[in-house]
Amino acid sequence: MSDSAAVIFNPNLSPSFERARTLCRITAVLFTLGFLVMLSTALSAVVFVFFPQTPSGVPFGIGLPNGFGANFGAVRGWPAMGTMAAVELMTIPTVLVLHHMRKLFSCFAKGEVFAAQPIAHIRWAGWWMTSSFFTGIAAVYLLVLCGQKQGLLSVIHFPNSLPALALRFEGAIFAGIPIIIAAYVMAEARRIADENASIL
Amino acid sequence: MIVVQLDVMLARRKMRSKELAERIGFTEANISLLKSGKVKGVRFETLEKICEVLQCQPGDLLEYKPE
Repeated sequence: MSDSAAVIFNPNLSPSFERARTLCRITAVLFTLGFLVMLSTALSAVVFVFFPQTPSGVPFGIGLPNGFGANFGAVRGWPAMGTMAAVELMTIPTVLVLHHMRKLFSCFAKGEVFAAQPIAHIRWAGWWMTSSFFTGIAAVYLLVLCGQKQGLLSVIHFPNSLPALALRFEGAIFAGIPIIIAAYVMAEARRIADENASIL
Repeated sequence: MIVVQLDVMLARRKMRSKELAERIGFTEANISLLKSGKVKGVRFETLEKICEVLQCQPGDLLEYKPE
């Protein structure tokens, strides 16, 4: 759909909203780039299990959020599989958050704001962000079990180190839960507005 | 004018408004408003849910009658 056609379909949109749409398009592109980078990280972990080092013997590794890391050159067999699972636990929720954010801003760019689809994307982004708090902590314990030491706290024992780890990942839960609540509030506001306008 | 034929479809499917309301997550009051045509619009989302429950097409629920 061309911009002029979009304006015809949305006659109430102001020129300033057009600028907002342009910003949303740019943001969607940035989130898409982030999504592709994180997706390639998640996929490369699978590849590194089978090809843990370069032909010249340099080991492959992946830097993870919060300063953690996984060195695939140092592990073989089940520890390598566990390391891969830990990387997936850390990256997949982020991949999904970025996916929903890029879709959300694409909806905004199309002029869909208080609609079912963008609200659903906000809700899912919140859920995945919240779940990344738990999967992140689980991933750290899995990395320890697999013998990975990069960026780990000095001593990691369950459950003693749980508070320290929770503090490292707290941003996810403190952002995720309010986002879910915001999506719920937006959905209710939309429902009430539609009911008041007699649209079912 | 657009006439809502929801009551006709409900009768054909031998379904009560209460059951439809429960299955699509609406209140009976809103189903009543829809049946009587006292609404300004119907979302595609709502039409989809009603068509799914009543196993019908949107055209079975809405009819155009020249005034």
